[in-house]
Amino acid sequence: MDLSTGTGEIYLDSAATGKPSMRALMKAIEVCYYTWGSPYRGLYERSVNATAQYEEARERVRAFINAEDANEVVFTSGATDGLNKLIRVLAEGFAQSDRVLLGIAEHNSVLLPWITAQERHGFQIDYLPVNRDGFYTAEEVRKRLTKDTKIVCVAHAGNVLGTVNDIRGLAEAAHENGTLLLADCSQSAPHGLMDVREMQCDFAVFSGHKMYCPFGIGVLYGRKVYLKTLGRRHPVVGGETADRVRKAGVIWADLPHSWEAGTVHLLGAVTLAEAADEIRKEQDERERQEAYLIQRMHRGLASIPHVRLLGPEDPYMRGTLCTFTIQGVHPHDAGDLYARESICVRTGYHCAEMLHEELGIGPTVRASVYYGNTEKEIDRFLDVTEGIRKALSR
Amino acid sequence: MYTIEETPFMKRYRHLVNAVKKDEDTEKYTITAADNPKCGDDVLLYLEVRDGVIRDGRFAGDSCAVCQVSADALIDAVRGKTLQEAKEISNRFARMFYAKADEKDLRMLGEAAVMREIVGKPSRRQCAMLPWGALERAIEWEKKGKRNAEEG
Repeated sequence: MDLSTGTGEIYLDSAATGKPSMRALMKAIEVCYYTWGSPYRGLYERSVNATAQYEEARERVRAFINAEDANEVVFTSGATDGLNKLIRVLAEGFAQSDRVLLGIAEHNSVLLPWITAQERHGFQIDYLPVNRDGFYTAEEVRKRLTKDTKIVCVAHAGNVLGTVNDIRGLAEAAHENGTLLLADCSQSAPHGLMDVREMQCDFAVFSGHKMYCPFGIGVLYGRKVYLKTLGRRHPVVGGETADRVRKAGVIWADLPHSWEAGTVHLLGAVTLAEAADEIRKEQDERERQEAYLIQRMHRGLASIPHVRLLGPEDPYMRGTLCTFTIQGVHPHDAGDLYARESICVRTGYHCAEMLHEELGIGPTVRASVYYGNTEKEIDRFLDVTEGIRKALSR
Repeated sequence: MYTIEETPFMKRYRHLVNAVKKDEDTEKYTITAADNPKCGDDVLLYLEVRDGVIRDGRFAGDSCAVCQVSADALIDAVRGKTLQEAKEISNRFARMFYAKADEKDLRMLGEAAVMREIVGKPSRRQCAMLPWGALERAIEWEKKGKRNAEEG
């Protein structure tokens, strides 16, 4: 993947969003220009072909995440959309005494749907801490599960701590208790790390825009039995979600239509399928390169005086991002100076203010790597970081 | 090795002249505060006001460079000015950020014109404006004859 923009810009914010790949964009042009059509609706060839393309994309995404059944893949506009839909219908079935175990390091897109659902339905929220290295552990999950805990919600890869959690271990701990597990895979799917059967998660979400796709497409995965049941609570309604609509009553549609209302996002689905294939194809080389780059970044940052890295101390335990503070330097000042050097990093709370509160720290700087970044770029970033520290640190 | 260009803003940041620690003797000052929970910036403004004139001032706070330089320059800009004149300077500072300041505005801003470097960065506007919000509050409180209006 060529991440270069031809302007000398160094892009280290792939954890926020990524550059669409040429392959995905070419597919988008093909669909927009030639093979567009109304999926599911018409009897003419263009429509039938559109349906086939859409369902083929679903199947390819199924293969990408290794789900058992294509109907376990629901296309959404992104991870946030999937979380909102899922959490709303899940919470509808909760009693006041029920509990939800939420990871403290979760993104606001996980926390806020639960917080608003709690206001509406009155169940309890417990928070799952991270260990010293920034990981959730099965031991801690077991300690915090109660007989009333209905679901555990954790990120597969953290968007601040740079850790990749052992979802299988956490899911096993939850399942022993009869509790479900929802994994936010927004930061792991783009690196080809998502295998729902291996992870044993019951639900998962991810976004396409972090993995070679244009904006506006994502996936909600759920075990078929759960998606089928929850679909009857009508997460969305509209065109295609009903088989028959009469004065006498409505016959509702089954999976996957019960989760996808209106004309479906054909363009998004086919670009996501292209991106998924591309990521799989690059997997070995990607893993090797990303690991090398992040370890170089981690070691470089750790060697700069007054830089404090969040998450694991061991560079081999790090996923694909480094979040840090520079003592005496406000991250927004640092962000400005990085920007002046055309280095794109994220500054602030990264939509995870609760984690920062838990760690007792203010805003931070986050630099993330992706396949296509280069050693030279990492070295330039480290050089600028050292310069910022020297110029601004008091 | 990357080095940062030495602009008037950076020079000022390295040599703040009106910064004090929060526990400074504050008996003679009118104190106002402003904070931005979104980024964690907070600033305390200490103004010594007698007979409607700002005789002196200091600031304290945990904040970014933009907020600190803005506060530091604010004190220089309003020192020796009447409350009315300080209000006018504050208005012109806002004009610099929200519209186009003319030569006269920049002249009136005096030391605060150093913040021109930040004008092209809308994301930093809040940081720069924060101490000026505290100034506006101080002016209001002084006009009402109150002191120590330390509140968010």
